[in-house]
Amino acid sequence: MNRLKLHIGIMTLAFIFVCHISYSQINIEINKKEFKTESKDGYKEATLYIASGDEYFASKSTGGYLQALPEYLEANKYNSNFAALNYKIGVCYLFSTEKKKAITFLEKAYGLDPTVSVDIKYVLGRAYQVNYQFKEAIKHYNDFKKIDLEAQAKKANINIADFNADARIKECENGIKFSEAVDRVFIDNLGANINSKYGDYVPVISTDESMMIFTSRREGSTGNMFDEERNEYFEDLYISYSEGKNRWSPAMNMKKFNTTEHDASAGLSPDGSVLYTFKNGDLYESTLKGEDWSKPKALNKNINTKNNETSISISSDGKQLYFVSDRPKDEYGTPTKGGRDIFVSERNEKGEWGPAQNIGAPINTEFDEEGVFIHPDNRTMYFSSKREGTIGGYDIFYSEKDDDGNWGEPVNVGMPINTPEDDVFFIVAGNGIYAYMSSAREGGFGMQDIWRITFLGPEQPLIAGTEDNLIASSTASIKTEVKQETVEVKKVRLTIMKGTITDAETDQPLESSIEIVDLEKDEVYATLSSNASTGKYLISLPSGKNYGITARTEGYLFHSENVNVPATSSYQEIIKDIKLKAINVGATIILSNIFFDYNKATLRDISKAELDNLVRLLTVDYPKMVIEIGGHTDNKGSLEYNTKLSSNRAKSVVDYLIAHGVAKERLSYKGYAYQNPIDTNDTEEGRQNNRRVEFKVISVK
Amino acid sequence: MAKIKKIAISKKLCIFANFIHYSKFEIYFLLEMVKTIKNLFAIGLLSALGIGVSFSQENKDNKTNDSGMDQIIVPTQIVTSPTDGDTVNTLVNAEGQEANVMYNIGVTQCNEGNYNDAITTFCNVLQINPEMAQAYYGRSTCYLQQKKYDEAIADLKEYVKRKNDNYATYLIGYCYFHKSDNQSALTYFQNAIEQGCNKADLFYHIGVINFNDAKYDDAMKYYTRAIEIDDTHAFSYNDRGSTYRMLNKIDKAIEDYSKAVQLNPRMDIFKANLGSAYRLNKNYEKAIEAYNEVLKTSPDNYIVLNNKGIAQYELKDYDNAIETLNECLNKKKDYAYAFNNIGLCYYKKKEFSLAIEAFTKAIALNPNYGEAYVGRGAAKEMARDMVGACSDWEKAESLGITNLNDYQTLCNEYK
Repeated sequence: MNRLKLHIGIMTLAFIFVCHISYSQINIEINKKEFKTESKDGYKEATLYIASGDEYFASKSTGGYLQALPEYLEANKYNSNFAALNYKIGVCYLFSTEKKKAITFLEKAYGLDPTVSVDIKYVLGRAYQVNYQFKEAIKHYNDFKKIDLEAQAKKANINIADFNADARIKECENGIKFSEAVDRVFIDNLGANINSKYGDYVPVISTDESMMIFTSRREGSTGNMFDEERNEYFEDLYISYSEGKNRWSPAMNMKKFNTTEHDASAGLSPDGSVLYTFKNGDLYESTLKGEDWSKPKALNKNINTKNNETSISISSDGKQLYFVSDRPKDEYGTPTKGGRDIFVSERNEKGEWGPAQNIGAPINTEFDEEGVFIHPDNRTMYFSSKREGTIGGYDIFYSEKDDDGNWGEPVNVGMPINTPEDDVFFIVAGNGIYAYMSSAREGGFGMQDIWRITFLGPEQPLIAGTEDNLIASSTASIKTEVKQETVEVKKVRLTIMKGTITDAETDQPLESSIEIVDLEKDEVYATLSSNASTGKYLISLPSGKNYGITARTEGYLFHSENVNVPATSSYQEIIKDIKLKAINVGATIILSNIFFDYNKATLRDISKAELDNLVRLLTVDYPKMVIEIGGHTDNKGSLEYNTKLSSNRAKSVVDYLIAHGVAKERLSYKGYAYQNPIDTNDTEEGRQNNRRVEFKVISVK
Repeated sequence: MAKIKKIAISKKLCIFANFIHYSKFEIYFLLEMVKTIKNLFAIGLLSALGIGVSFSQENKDNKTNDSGMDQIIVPTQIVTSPTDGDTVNTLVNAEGQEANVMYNIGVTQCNEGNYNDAITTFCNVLQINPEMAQAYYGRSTCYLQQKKYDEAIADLKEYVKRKNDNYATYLIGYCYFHKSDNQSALTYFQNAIEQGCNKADLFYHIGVINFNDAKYDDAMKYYTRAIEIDDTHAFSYNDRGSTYRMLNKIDKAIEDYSKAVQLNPRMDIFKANLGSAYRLNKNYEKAIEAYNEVLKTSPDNYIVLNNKGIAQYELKDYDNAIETLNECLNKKKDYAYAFNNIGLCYYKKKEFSLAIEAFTKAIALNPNYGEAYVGRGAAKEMARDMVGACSDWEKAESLGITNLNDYQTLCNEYK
């Protein structure tokens, strides 16, 4: 298949992975004295390979270096002892997945001619750095610092600013520090169903890891467009579904979504229903309706500017949008701290994104920040940065928000997640055990691949076995080692509730609006929808709130659930399938979020949201509906007592409805005590289910 | 009647002794000979009392009192009594003289390590003179030498019936101490104090009992009292150092251990404890230095070899640590700790299969070795055998390991 070769200045998300080190442009001079071959033909052939390689090499792009490499290697077969050629091969290998070979060729180049290039020591330092041989790297960088660079810069055609040996040395020192820790993660390539020999990056996942969307530059790009500069196809979006145990279905091109231009993933809402994409420096959003994604729509001007906006992440309550931009200042006049910073926008009352604000220190620095991801717990932010404290290029950091909403000092996630090269686009699953990232590391399929990280948590306390004869007059030795203190495990404070919403009679999936209310504050925490085709929904509930959750679909009685997630609660998944009942005479629903004082009929304040749901149903949706409110108890206590209590509680609800405009003629109430249990009375959980308020439709009219 | 009863007691204690009859000439000759041997009785008595022998690779060349303790007062010949200033009544008749001479022979025999002969001799003395308190005392010291604490206690009790001697009361407590009857020991120690005994050893041993009962504050008090009485009491410095160690006051422990070493540089136990204190203080180089001092004279000391290996492990000198620990295993092949520690070294070297092998050997030697299960679990985890890792950690917990970090969350993913 012919591919359309393009070498144009279209903005792709891959521009983030620019090489942050320049290499001098050595002119490999071929002359008979220096480049000896066995025959004249050989000389000519070698010359051609070198010329071809130089053309690619001059592009200074990853693709260029990778395309130059095979040309140089062919030339090298004719004469493997030519210093400049070894140097260039070494440089090319730095951009490949076979970085160890860079050391071999560069050392050989230096051995053949220590003056082969003014930056040979610097490049050697880089070769050792990317191969994690930090001490060796520091030696070479220090050697490089002794060179009078200014005197040679013009002749060597290099920009002195590109050679910051001190910064590289600091990175290596950080690398040494991080190397000391035992790796507490597994890093697994997601395999051939996801990755290709071309760049695969920017994975975005739903909180429950059931779905992954990512960007790929593989063969089969829409329109078969080829980017010669990077030696890859144009960016397209791909989707894959989890098959469990880190197995993923073969990635499918999102044909309805992709165009002949670059289409890249940028973010995904926690429930997987809103996809954010990147195109030509702007951010777009697309909503999943049933099985179809809506046409991507550019985010408003508070988000998109004439500058570049790249990655994006939305909070689990849907109220904050974090994104990266290189705009010079935010809409409050605060100047951007570095090239790219992280900004936040709040959703306003109209549901639109408000003015963007630079989130400032300690997240943003004078260096670039990229790849923002806000965990569904709404208190942990992951992002990449080139700030001080990295081991090279972008490193991934995280910051935690305190209870006052202040972001804490970012922490480098360390090695082996971070490498001496760019590590960007890091997302963490809801459970906090797994994360996904794109990275060009050894063991991949080529270029950037998508990897899964498994966090193993703190290392178990390893205890050396030892004994001493502590008491001089004692005959027995004593086992004395002081045990390590227990390490506190960082818990993900998040509850995920997911399931499907269906018609109670037909089991057909329903598209429902789901409203999540913070009952204590009586304010809407988030609103989302179940998928029209599957009925699936996913709600992220950070710990520390008592949630009232209401699912509504026109023509059905609303369904309410109460999920109380204490502040100390760690990660949990609740699977709750909801069956909505069509509005028919005799249909009943449980009002799960109505609470009374203990042994009393006094309504507690946190019942207000649920009662207002009922008011809305009876005054707005069905202004003629007649209902009965039924009170139910568990079997503790006498029938007489429980009948009275349940009747009084039902009456309290009716009184509230009347007070809020529902005609009393449409309302009746009854105390059923414990005569209609829906669960066992032998367990506390069962008794709790039995203590309830229901309403029953008497007539709809 | 009373006299008959006392003889009966003596006979009971002499039931296994051979009766040896000496001629008067022989007795005279021996009497002259033993006059020249004074105070040799003390040599080796400390070890008979269990002091210092606990340390299996103790320096055996010591010719001086290596305990740093008060020299235990032993029976001496004729004139000198067990307690200062007391004198034996001169025996006026032939039988009395014979008992006196035989008593001195018994002392000599005891000095020469002929404890059975000495006991027989003291039995003969007591047959001649059942009221001779020194003979009971002398025989009790022989029993102490043989670690026959019940017999020693019986003789010491006979002795204190005849002599008001707070030191002998202390020795009764001391015997009970070695019988692990701490309650009785404390009773006699307390009696000794009330009787005016002010020996450093007495307070030292009360300190030991408190230490063994984990009453470290009390132990500290008694060790300090012993040191106040005798500031050269090396054992008290060592043990107080250990008390500081248990109270996690490692700097103070190092101070006391150092003093103990200074007072008696030949005691391996002091140097070994000093090394371990340095190790706990994360001064691993000094720890290794101290351990090496021990190993110079006691190269077979497997405990010190193991601890040196741990110090090398802490210094991340894993290869040398493994070498040292293997040397330890050459000295004691069934030492589970060393296998566990080799496992740790291989774990840190990221040679997980070798780590698993070593931990498995530790577990084979001690199936209840919880820490080895923790280590093997960690090695299996890194070898990506999560099911095996989780199983080992569960086993470790069942064995009482309580400080494990949460592993269930991750393990649930692999079920």
